[in-house]
Amino acid sequence: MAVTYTSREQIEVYRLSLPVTILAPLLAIFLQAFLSKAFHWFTIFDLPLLVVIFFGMARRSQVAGLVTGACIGLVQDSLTSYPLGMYGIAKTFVGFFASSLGVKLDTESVGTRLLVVSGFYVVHQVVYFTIARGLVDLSLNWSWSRELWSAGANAVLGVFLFVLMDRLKQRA
Amino acid sequence: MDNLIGRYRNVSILAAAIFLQIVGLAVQVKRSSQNQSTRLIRVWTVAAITPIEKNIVRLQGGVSDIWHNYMYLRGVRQQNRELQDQIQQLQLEQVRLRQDAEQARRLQSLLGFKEQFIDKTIAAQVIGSSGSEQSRLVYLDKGSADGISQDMAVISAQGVVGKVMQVFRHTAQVLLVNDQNSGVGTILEQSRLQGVLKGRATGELVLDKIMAEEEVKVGDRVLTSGGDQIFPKGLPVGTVANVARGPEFLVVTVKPAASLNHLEEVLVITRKQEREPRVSAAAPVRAADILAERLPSVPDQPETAPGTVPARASVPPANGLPGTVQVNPQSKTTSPAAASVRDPHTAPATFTGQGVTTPKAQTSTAVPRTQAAELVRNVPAGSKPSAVTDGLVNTKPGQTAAIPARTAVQSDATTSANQTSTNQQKTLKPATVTKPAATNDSALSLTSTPKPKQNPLLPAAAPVKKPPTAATQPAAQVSKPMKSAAPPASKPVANTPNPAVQPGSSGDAPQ
Repeated sequence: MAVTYTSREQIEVYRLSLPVTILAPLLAIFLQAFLSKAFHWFTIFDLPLLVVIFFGMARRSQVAGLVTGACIGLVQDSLTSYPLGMYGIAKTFVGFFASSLGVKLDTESVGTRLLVVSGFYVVHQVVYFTIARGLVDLSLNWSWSRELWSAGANAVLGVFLFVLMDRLKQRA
Repeated sequence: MDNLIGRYRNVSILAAAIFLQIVGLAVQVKRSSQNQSTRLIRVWTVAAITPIEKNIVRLQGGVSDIWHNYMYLRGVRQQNRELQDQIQQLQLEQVRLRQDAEQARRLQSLLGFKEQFIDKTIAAQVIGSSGSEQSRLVYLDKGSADGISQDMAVISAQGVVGKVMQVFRHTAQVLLVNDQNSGVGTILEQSRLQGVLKGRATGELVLDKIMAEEEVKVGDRVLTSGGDQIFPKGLPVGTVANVARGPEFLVVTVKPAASLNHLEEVLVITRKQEREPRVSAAAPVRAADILAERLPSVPDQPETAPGTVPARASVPPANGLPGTVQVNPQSKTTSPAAASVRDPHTAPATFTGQGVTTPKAQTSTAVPRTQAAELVRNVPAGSKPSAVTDGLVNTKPGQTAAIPARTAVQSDATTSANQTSTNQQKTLKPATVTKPAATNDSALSLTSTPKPKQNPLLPAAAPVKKPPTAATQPAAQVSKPMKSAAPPASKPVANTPNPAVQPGSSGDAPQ
């Protein structure tokens, strides 16, 4: 359903069941860790980020979005050797803004999803690198070409993943 | 104020969430023991994620094992042959290295050096990763319950992998050497320059702190120096891939020896030992001895049965000296049919199922006809007479040396047993070393009388070289009928003469 600024009353708000809310992020984190070990190139994807974006846009609740982002980000942080909070902060931002954007856009259109996911990926990476360099003093290399390419790859994957995850949504 | 917060409630919550996380981050960065302050969250995450990973990896391994061990066996035979060739090459190489090592140990002992040995390791499987390009670490399926603790070195068959960073009950987190938080004390193999190997954000390995005026060659091997007190000295880390000069230090890029992106099984060094080098009291082993070990073995001298007719048997002294044969013990389990290995320079040797006499003693092993027949009957169908060679010995793959060996199996059995033994030989065909035609002499005679053109011991048959084929496998491994394995006399001469060979020795064994 197309949603515009003039039809905010028609916005459909979805809810996700508790098992899905817990298991879907855990599955995404597990697959990210497991597949990256088997296929190193898989590190260009960020499955937990896609889940944060999807949850945010489906629920259309900013608080729920940021809490989901923070939790998933912190769990993802705990699998790395770096201090907790780097992915947490980045994904908190993404969760918040994804749910804000979900109120204003048609979140089920493929084109919108491509743009939203690629845009949020870049935002996520910018925040992450800023924290890494500014707060943790890590010397990470920023490469625009690599980040844009990854953003595109994540957007394509996101389109397919969101179609699958749409089946988990329940009308609120 | 309340109105303001109420109006911007969501933004306020966002700000609070970000603020809390930044404070938490700052606390972790400030504390040196950041791992301890956040350990609980990490333990929860690892406890939730790794059991699934572990089970999937086990399932994957089981399916893969079944497929590779029972179904997909294409090329295994060829690979086996190649590996056997490789083993032979390595055995010879090992002799030389052993000498060098002994010498080094003697010198170290004189100087009072202490060596560090890997005393105990635990094999572990890599079950997962961080899933992030920025943080290069992997998770193992073994933890503190298996004896793993923090800062233990992790290696693979190729080289150094990393060190244990955090340990959980059944899982351990390993920081790879190419992570930017990692550092390994290393030394260049040729130039002996020492430096610290560090990871970069891109995943490259860079050797740090080598002065710009030093000379570092591309391709030089990088080994652990032992200076970091984590990795024992001398483990391969990688090879120098590129050298660039900086203002003060060289920028040496190193290609890791271990395949860090495709790790499956690793070894965790759980115990190192430091001790003074021990000099082996054993006499040095020579290449000739190694070669001689591949020749047929001389079984222990059996007790001769009283009242039996002795069989001729003699063999050169098996001490590894030129012209002598040290025989493979495998022959003890092979065909009891008699065979003689002869050296024209020495007395002929006869192998029997009961044993072989030495040339000095010239004692004979006697097998009564009935006993011999019984022995022949008891030969296992698949047994091979490795005691009887085809007159060829591999010095190394592709290099074959002729030895003054002939097979001649003789028995003093009476002619009345001719028919019986011939029948028995038919059943023995896979296990015997000579053609049935050679049994004309006597009842149990398996004497080989090769044609001159097939004789590998003619004057031209000094050490010969030929490509490694099944016929040129070591005598202990290839126990084929003599004629089929005998090389043509026109084979090229080998580069390295076999010390166990009498050059120019004739293969015509005296009958």
